[in-house]
Amino acid sequence: MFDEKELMFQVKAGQLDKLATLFENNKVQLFNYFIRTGNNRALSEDLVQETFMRVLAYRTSFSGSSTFKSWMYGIARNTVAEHYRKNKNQILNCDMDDEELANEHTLAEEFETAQQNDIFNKSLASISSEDREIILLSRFQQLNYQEISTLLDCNLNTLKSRMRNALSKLQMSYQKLVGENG
Amino acid sequence: MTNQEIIDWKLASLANSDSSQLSEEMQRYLEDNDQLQEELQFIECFWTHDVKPLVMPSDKLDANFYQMLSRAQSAQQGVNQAPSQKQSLPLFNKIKSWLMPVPIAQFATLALVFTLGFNLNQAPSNNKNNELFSGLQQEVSSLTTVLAISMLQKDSASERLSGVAYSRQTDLSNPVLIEQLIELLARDKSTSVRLAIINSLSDLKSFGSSEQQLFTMAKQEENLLVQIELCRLLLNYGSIEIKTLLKDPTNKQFLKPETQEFIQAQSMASYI
Repeated sequence: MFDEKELMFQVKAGQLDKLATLFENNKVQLFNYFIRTGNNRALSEDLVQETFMRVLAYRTSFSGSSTFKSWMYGIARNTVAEHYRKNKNQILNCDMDDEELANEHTLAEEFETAQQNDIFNKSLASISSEDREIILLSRFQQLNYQEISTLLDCNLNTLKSRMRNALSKLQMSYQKLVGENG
Repeated sequence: MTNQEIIDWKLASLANSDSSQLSEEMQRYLEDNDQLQEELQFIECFWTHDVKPLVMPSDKLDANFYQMLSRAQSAQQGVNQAPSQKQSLPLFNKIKSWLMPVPIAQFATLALVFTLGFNLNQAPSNNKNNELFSGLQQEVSSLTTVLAISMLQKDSASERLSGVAYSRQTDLSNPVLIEQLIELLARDKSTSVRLAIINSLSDLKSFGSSEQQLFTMAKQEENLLVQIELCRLLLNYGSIEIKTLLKDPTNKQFLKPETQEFIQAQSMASYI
């Protein structure tokens, strides 16, 4: 496993080729982060590209006080926020039709999984973007509390409280949707 | 013991960052709290269920990234090389330029001109001073010749033009300088330099052995302007033999029609 912080310090020192390792390590997760926050494939790819361009451009500002992931997701959040600030009329569009589902399931399992996926997705979509982001960063981007608190610039205990609150809202929304479907 | 602590433990264990088991106290607390159990069950289900399998980006993303990285590396190389070139080249060029014959000759010429002027102003004219003056004049002329020859060998057309201008300051008695001028007239790419050389050669009292060379050059010349000027030079300052040769119909056929017209007009003018 690579020490991403060390690699980023090498990039900062001028070894730009090390950025390729960081890109390969994080591109899929970052791409899925953008997909899960409601962007289509093409835009998500553009945002990954833009994020790494900024990682390169701002390399000298990397201090190592947080992990590379936390720093990178901070840049990713700013990138997507700036994109929507520039394109105010553009609505978040989750392009689910062309997603490649790699898992192999039987038809019944597939149906059940697809149905549950659908409910989870709808639950996630129904909660506020702030609550959704904390869950996504923890659940899908596998950032720990410390990294998320640095990224969101909030106290660790506040973050824990916000996480529990967000999960509670997600559960409520999920139960509501299960009730509607049942 | 709070619900928050147990949820934190659950999330940490799901994220594999905490492999510790629930303490007996926590276990008992949990067993007594149905709502918390339900909450933990939901979290576990959400955390372990593949809500959305990872979507793979296209190859285009890789291509764009590596293209961007390559551009950044090229730019970095450019930036790294630029300051070292900026620092080393001017210094090297400066030292090199100080050692070139042109600045040395320029400095020596200035020093001689200064000595010449100083001597002329300081001492009353007598034979000794006249000899000294004459000697210094010769030295100035020879140094200017060296300077002119050096400048004629430069890559820059403007510097070669300066060389031609320096050559006019000499009496053009140096055969090496004349040879250099004629050689440059034959091969220089710049029309301005060639025309300046022709103009400079008009100061010669006699073309001597170079006359035939200039005549051959005029016959073979592709550039109309240079050909006309060469013919004008030979018609105005050449020997009678060359003038006759130029007007001879056998030789005239090698010249461009416009040049033939020019020679004819010149002949008629001189006749009138």
